[in-house]
Amino acid sequence: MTIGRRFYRTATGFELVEHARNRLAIILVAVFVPVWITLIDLMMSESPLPFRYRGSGEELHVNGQHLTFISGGLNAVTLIVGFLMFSVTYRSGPFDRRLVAAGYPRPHLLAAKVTALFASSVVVAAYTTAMVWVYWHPQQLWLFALGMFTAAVTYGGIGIVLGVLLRGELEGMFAIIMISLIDVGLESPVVNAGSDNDLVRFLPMYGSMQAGVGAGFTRSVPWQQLAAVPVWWAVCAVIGLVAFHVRTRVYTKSGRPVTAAMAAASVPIPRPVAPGEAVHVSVRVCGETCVATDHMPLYQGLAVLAALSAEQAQDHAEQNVYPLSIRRGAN
Amino acid sequence: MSSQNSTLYVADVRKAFGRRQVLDRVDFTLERGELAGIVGENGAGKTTLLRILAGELKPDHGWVIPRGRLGYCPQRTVLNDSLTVAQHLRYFQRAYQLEDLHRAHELVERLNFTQYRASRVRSLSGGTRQKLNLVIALMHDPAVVLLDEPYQGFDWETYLHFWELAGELRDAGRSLLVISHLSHDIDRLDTGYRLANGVVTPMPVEAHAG
Repeated sequence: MTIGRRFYRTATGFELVEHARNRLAIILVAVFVPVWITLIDLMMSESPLPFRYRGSGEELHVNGQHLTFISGGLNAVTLIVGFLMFSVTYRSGPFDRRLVAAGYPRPHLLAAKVTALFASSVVVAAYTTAMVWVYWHPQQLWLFALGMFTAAVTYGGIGIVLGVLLRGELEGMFAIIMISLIDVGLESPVVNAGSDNDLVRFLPMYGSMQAGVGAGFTRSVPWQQLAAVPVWWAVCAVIGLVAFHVRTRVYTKSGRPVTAAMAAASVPIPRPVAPGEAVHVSVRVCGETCVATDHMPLYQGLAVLAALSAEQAQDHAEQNVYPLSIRRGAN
Repeated sequence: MSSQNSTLYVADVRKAFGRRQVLDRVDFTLERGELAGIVGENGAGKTTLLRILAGELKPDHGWVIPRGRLGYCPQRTVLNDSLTVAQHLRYFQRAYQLEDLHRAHELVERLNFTQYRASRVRSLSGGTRQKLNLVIALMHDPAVVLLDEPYQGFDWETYLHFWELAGELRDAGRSLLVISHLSHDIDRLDTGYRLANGVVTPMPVEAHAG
């Protein structure tokens, strides 16, 4: 196994463990989903409701209870995965930075997080679909499950963004519940009689709701509407990616280990004699070489010279030092 | 200021938060086999300085040049509540790319929390969490060790174990920089610095026994 794959496998394993040990998410899955679906079965009216199905452009008159299975299922998966991702993101910032500072490559860590999000979304969507299947058989089960999965992934992305932006767990929980409620409420004719408004296209759950209705009451697949899902996800992913990058940035890179051979080959480091004397050194900054040949203050020159390791000092080669910033004319 | 044995160079580091200049020209050098400490009052900027040295914060100006790998033990424990002690060690084994966990297990034994290896961090006491925090900073045998009040929550015996361990690392040629607000720790150091008004100044240290 390559080293890259090992990094990915280890991180994915621990990310999944972290998801699986999120107590609140597990309780929501175990209790909230079956209770919610059962209550819909017991209490929702079966009277027909109009729904604008944009896969075919027609207005369907569908069983109100069955429609609520769709919106209720979406509500459940979005809350669970949204909260799960919020919670993981919110808590993991400093730990991720510690891993990166220790040498963990960021792309592998990030890939592991995305894998865990998709894995959790698959599990929660499949479970919710199975719970609905107990009471109602949608016409296209796979599309129903896909609708649940896309909603889960989208809200996972929203959870990541909230995890980056918000400062408290209660705030995050509240925000996820509100967003999911508003989203479902505006799209479902059970709550909003004007749910055929064109603006619903811009809601995060739009494609998933359309897929759910297509799955429940038609033999068609609303591909165009489903295409909105990756857009929402991509926007959230970019915000999450930037935040991850900023939060795990490490400014001082560790130098190479000092070997016995290097220590033995050490040479005295020359010192400039007077303050303000010009020090000519090449400084490699993050892979790009810039040359600090102006009149650097003595202390900066000393710092640079001091960093010249023995074998490089001998031929006055450029040196891997990590100047954090150079303020010219500071003194 | 500089020598062939230096492992960490800190030159003219400055940092301000808004209009408050927390660090103003911090200069010092850490040598191989040196156990140094920085003391200062609460809010003097000790943690800010150590976070800069560890690369967590970017200074407004200055140079931080480590030679060799760094080990950093942050003041607040940085762990994952959902994972066990053993899982932390395996995660960081991968990060540090270590062949085995002999050193990590040895440290766990030294700090006397072997019995918690299978426990999740969430269920650990503050002191045990701090021990794991410290082990993660030391398990890859870094050349330069930066410790920010690493013994918070330790009982007296573990506190003594910690200083014993620090002495051994120093004797093995590692450089250690310990941040403390306890002035009585100063006697355990080779070199002491006081951080006040944004400036680091050497302070007299009694010769240690080891």
